Amino acid sequence: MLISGLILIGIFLAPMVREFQPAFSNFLYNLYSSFCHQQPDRCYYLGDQALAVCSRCLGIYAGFFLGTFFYTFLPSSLRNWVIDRPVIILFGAGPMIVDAAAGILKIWASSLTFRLATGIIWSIFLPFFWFQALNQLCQPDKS
Amino acid sequence: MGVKEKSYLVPALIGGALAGLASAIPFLHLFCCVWGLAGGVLATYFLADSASKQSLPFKISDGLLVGALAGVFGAIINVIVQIPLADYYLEWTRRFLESLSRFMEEVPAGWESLSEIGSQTWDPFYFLLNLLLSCLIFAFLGALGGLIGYSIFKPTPGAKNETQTPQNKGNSQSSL
Repeated sequence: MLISGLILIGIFLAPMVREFQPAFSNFLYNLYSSFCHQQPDRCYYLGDQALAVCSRCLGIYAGFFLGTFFYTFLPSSLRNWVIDRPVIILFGAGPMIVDAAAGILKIWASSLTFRLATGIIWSIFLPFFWFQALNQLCQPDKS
Repeated sequence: MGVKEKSYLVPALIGGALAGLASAIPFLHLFCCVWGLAGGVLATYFLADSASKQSLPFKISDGLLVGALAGVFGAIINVIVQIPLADYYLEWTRRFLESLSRFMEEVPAGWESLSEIGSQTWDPFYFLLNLLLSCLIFAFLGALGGLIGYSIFKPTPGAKNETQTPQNKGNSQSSL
């Protein structure tokens, strides 16, 4: 939760400090440029400045952050149901992959909201498996 | 007889090389964070293959760890490769904007600032901070890629190296 929260803060911080701290803002945009194309027509805007990542990447990071909350409050039976089915990770990526491929092949051009939604749909399940892996790491090795 | 151990290093180096190099190359970096994820998936593939050949268990935590390690290697490679490519990347961005502006009556707000980003003079403090934060984000993406890789390459039921995750029906919340 901390890592995804920090990433989200940086995404919004870059345009917020553009006017007051342009050097730091440029640094943040540069930092996220390795993970995102940052094309302005595919980004949400804060005022007249684009966020540091595109709408799909924003959905991925926001979905993971939201997923950590859901993981905490969902009943354990539902958590275990998801964890027992890691193929959900692949199915969740389906809409995102189809939309991205369609955009590259110029079949259709989806809206920012649709891209945001496909990113959230995929990444909101990831914390379940993330915490399962961390649980395994924290358990003593019985072998 | 030596103890068999899984080695994360080589799979992580291979995955990190993919993530770091592809993310730094202009045009390829347009695929957003996919290279960070792909590096984690690739590292998990090699680790799963190695574990299978040595009949060692392969757990989801292995995918997470090797993916995160691949991300760290990827970040280091990415930052180093970007140093000589910085001017080329800036020129590529400017040519991209110029060619696009020929087809637009009015350039959307924010496009001009794209060419300003990256034109700062080199600062060692920002370089180290960039390296540190890149390691953090790449490791996060690589770890997610490791989870994806586990869902693809996890051992099939009945395989010798399958590890049954304890089903804690009571509370499976992270110990964090």
